[in-house]
Amino acid sequence: MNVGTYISGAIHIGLIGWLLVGDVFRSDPPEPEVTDVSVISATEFDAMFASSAAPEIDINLAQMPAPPAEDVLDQPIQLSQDVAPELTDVADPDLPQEQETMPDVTGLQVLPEAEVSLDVPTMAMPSFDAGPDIKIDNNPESKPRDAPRVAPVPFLRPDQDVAIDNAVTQAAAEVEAPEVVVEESQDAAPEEATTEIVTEAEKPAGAPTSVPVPKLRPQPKDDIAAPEPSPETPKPDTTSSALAAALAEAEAVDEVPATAEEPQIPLGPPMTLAEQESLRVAVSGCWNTGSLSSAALRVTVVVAVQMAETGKPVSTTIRLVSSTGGEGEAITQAYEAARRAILRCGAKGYDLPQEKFGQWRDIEMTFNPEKMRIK
Amino acid sequence: MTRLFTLFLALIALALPASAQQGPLRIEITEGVIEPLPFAAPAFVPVNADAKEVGEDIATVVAADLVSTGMFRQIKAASFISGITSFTSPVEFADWKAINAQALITGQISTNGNKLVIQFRVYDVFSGQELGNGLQFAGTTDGWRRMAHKVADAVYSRITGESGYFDSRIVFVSERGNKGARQKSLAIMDYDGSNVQMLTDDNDLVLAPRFSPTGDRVLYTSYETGFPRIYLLDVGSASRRVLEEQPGSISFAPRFGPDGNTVVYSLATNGNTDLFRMDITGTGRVRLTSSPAIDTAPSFSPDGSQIVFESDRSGSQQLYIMPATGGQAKRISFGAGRYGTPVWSPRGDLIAFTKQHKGRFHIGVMRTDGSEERLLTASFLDEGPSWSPNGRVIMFTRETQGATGQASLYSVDITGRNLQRIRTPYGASDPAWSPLQ
Repeated sequence: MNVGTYISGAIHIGLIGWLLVGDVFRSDPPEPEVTDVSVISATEFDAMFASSAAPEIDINLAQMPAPPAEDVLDQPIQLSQDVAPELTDVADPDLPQEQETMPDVTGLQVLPEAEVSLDVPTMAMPSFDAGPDIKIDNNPESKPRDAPRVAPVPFLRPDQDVAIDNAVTQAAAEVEAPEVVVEESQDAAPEEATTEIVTEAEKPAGAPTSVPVPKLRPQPKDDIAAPEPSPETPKPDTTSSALAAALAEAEAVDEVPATAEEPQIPLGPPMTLAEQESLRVAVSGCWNTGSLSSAALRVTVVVAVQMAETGKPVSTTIRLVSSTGGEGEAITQAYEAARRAILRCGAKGYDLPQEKFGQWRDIEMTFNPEKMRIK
Repeated sequence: MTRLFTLFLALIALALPASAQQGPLRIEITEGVIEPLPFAAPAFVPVNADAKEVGEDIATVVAADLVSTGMFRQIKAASFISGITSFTSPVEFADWKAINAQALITGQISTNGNKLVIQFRVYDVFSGQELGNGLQFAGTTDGWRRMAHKVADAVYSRITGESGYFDSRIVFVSERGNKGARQKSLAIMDYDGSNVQMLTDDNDLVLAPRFSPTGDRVLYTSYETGFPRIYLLDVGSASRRVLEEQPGSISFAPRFGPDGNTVVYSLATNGNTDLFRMDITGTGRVRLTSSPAIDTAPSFSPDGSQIVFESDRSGSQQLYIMPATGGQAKRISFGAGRYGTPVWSPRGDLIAFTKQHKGRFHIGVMRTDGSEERLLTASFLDEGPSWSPNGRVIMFTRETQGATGQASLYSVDITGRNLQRIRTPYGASDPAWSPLQ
């Protein structure tokens, strides 16, 4: 899960940085070309600045020593028409740039004045003052500062070192404990097995090699791989008729909770806006307000639901979190309509990214009927 | 080029992972679908042989009630994978999910002589849960239809969250004969047009019947004496008496107050029509308006504190609201055209009205302050809206054009959907919906 988060974060940071630094939203970045103005005479320079100061300010940035910049700014506008087209192109987007660059000009004037290096030693002084304080080792209490960082680990080691050997034998017994942990990691092994099983199912011809592991989960999808595990328990694959399939789907909604609680849930990367929108649209299609009273149509309810890994809502987990805009029976009706919407459109499972199960396992849906209200 | 580049960036951003979420994934759904909810109502299981036929009839009426709302769609029995053979056996929800039944109504019926007992349950199929608890109604076999309406009301309430209106009745003016010489009489029927009974003969012209809040009495206007007079009719015994009789004046457009003991009506004297109120005993008359204009069609708010009425005091027919004790009236209709016959919703949030504009008649609703006006119908002649007991449906009169035109009753949901004609043996007009019984 962290990898995905890191990747997401890196992409976000990159995008934001790109937007900030990369001049993404500037339609025309040709200001640097104005460096030619550095060659222009003072009168032309004044005229050009008078028409639009923004690009010239950048020029001043290039010309560090130009102290009379303020005087130049005050001069009237007499810009030659040669430069005008460039400025008109940049005119609209430059309006904010002018304000941004103006303070830079003043800053340039201030900077040389502030070049006095007297502040530098004063800045260094406190750092040296702190140094000698640290050197005082008289108080061993200074060490506890490190303790809160690494406390759990170092404390364990000295205990083992100082402890009598008697405990070592018991520690040997604890050595087995990691093996148990490894057994937990076997939970990951079945996942590998499942991936293999899936591939076997996809390639029935190559599957028959003996695989001792996969007793852990009987999968109804393994019709083709079924000949391998001969001792398999009978599977109720009565999905021949559409009716039976519908019944199985309906029943599956209630069967899900048992399996949903057991495994460790991978969080996965965050849901994209498109994925969230897809879910929202799916539920909206089953949110029927046609049979609600006008009082119930004034109630906004927040409903929590836990989803199974199959994308189906677990009916027993649906609950009303909060409501606004009504009371009593109206809340009840609004909640029941929301519950029907979640269950109906989720009967076959919502189309949600499997690898992000941890992100959408718990969902809170706000049903706001403001637009559906009887006016 | 820049736009393409920006679009490219947007697509990349859409595909990139969203910001790392804390806790559950959260999504907001703001748009759904509006469609009838499919339900299954298999025949109620008969406990004894005599109950079999009525069990099927009751299930049929329950389904018809629900379907008539436009909010439900019945799944036909031919689609059922398995039926309900025992009321107490567990429901095979998978069978009903497979046919996309979102609600399931099961029941059983037993008869013992003239006694009829109905037990039923409602299930949310996809959640596999029962909606509420099972209910039981007991009555006589003669009243099976009304019991079926009560079952439908309970089902409707459990699914929609608001009370039903199936166990209610309509009092209306039954019309026979040609347009120029129609014979009118008061009639009453179930909300769905069944069990029509005449309350008066057709010798005298009758108009604008209105139910009392308890549904056992009806106010109406009759020309029995040659002039319009307000009468009070007891529905059970069909006995009646004149409520307002003042020489030299005509009274009409009566309507009960929410307490059932107050009547507000129009009284025309010397060519001027104003609003009055009085006790149901015919005493304690109080003038509510005093203007040279025609003030009529008053209707109480559900809490009895205000009255909405129509008046042409501004030069054209418009809607006004004033305190129930009279006083300053505030105009609430400002749209183009003329507004009339306002009726306050039982919920108190809307006012239904008739609007005439550019030669067309409309039934519409608006907020009590006149805002959010919505026209629900449009035809040659639509008029006289009346609210269902739950404030969800409006019934009104629609008359077709021409010399052979005939008046009929229609209903429409306040959303403007599910426009339906109510079948009556003859022409019908001026419907008034009773409260839920």
